[in-house]
Amino acid sequence: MSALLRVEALSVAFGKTEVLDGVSFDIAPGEVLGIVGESGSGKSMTALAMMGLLPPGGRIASGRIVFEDVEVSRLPERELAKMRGARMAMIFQEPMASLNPVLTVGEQIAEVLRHHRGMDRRSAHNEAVSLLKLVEVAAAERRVDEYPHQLSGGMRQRAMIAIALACRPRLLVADEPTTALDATVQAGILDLLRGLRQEFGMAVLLITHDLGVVADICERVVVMYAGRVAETGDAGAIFAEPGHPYTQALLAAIPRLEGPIGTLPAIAGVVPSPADFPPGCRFAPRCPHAIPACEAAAPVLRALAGGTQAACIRAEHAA
Amino acid sequence: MLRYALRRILAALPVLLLVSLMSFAIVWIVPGDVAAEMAGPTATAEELARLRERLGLNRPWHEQLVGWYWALAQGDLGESILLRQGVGAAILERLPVTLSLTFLALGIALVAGTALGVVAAVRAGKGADRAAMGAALVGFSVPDFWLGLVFVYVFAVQLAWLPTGGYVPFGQDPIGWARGMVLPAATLALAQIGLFARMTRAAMLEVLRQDYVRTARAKGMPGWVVIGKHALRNALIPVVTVAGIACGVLLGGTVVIESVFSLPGVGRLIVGAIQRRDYPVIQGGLLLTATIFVCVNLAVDLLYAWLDPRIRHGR
Ligand SMILES: Nc1ncnc2c1ncn2[C@@H]1O[C@H](COP(=O)(O)OP(=O)(O)OP(=O)(O)O)[C@@H](O)[C@H]1O
Ligand code: SF4
Ligand SMILES: [Mg+2]
Repeated sequence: MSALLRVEALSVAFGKTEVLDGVSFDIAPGEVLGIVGESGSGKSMTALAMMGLLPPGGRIASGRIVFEDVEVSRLPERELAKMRGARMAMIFQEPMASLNPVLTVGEQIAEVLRHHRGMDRRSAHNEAVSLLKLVEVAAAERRVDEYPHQLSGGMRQRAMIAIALACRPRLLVADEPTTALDATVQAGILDLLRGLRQEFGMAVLLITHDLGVVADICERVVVMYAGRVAETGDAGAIFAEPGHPYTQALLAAIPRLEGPIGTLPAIAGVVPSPADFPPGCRFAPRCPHAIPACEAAAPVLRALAGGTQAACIRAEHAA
Repeated sequence: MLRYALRRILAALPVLLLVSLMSFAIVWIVPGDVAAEMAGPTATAEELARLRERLGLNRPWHEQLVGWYWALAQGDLGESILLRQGVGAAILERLPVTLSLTFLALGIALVAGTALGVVAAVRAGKGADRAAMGAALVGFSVPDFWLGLVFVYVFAVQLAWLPTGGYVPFGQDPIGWARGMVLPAATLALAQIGLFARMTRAAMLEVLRQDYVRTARAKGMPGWVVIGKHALRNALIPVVTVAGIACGVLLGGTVVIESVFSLPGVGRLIVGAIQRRDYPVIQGGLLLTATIFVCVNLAVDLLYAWLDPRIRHGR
């Protein structure tokens, strides 16, 4: 089966600084893929590169992104814009900041329908109400004419999802969609995404630094560290037999409700910034299993007995 | 929205009251004998007494105050000593000139300034940005009377495209009105174009960084919709705030421009009245200018609320 999206050896650079280095993964139609990693590991950059929305100064230095057999990494802006919001849609972390404060929620949904689906004002407005109902916003007929500041955080994120779903995209990119929300609201949004994905058969790329969320709804996982893929595989295998010391550390850092607060084994140190990535394996300075050979060359992804692929030369020793 | 509007209108009333008090108090504040100054050095004692009687200066001040408000309530601003005409009529006659000048200039400044600012922000750091901001700086720095004279020389004297001055009422000949107004309004607007351009540029740069602009792009909206709808509507909020101040500056600027282009406006009426100590006209002029200013700021507040739903909902 051909992949819906293929990211092949993607490198993204700002000037001379490479923030992504040889990132590869793919997503099958209807699949939920999770990207995890600490802050600064390059998750958002990967998603923005896919959408053609890299911030000013950022460019794809090498590699390709193929979506529905079209090489989107080479498309001119005009063609990209036709795809964005229609075939591939995105939602962001901060639902308040992501909605325009001076336009009604309905208008922000309806303009997508008018633009991509050529609807007239009236039917776009009616469809906006249906979409709000679809994302389970109560009193949708009233909410549609309200402004973002009149909605709660959870409702705003639901409205963002309604915008993203307006054209029934094949792929929904969700960049930490629940990080800014309370735990109970979070669960509601995840449930909603799960249901919608089943209903429409769309693929979801879910970015998070919460492995609990991944365990909840992802089928496959990409673990990123310092602009590279550290490990990838089926969610089951990643959780059961993580091969990469970084994945192991992340799993060990999942808060366990039984344990007393304060004994959480967090990972010592921080993700280096792109300007001072260490040579060889970028995790080496923080890795308990590091040996001098780790700094000699960047480890490549290789299949492990546990069923995952990891970029670590000592995965067998680290297990 | 209606409640917000009512609140703004109520808030404007004390300002108007204060201004009317100040207008009344002018005759008391100026040093010396108002009647003597108005009548001039050659006036006889009898003439002076008659003038005092006419102005009501020989009555106690509280009676004068009541009289002033009583007359105001009836729309009576008193008589001009020199023009031998009601002050209200004298002002009304010249008001269209000053108002067309002010609002035409405001329109030009807003449209041209925002357009320049948007282009500069979108092309930030590039040639178009530097050119626009350089032009804004020049517009700022050149005094308007000088610019007015240059415009008259180039467009009216040398090229003879437009009249050198004078006023044609709109109702009489709209095209003549427009031809007569273009140069003075553009001259008056120039410094404010620079102001609006810089404000818009700064606001746009701020807005273009916001997440909702990225959302608009993620939705596949074409560039002009992202800039002109999603970004500009937000950037206009601070710009509109300046429009109220700019309007006051423009109103003040009409005094000079009316002289340069020999337009029979309120500005020249007031200048003449000040030179010749025609106090009723000065009082009326002050009252009128302040009222216009208050109205403009009221309009700005309403526009502001229309642009920003958060204000409309009292947040
Ligand atoms: N506009 C930019 N210019 C240059 N470098 C940037 C820019 N934005 C982000 N970066 C760098 O790119 C790297 C990856 O950032 P990215 O936002 O993709 O991280 P992330 O994994 O999404 O983290 P988070 O969990 O905090 O969202 C970071 O090291 C960051 O310093
Ligand atoms: S390659 Fe070496 S440093 Fe990198 S994760 Fe594996 S053991 Fe640790
Ligand atoms: Mg991110």
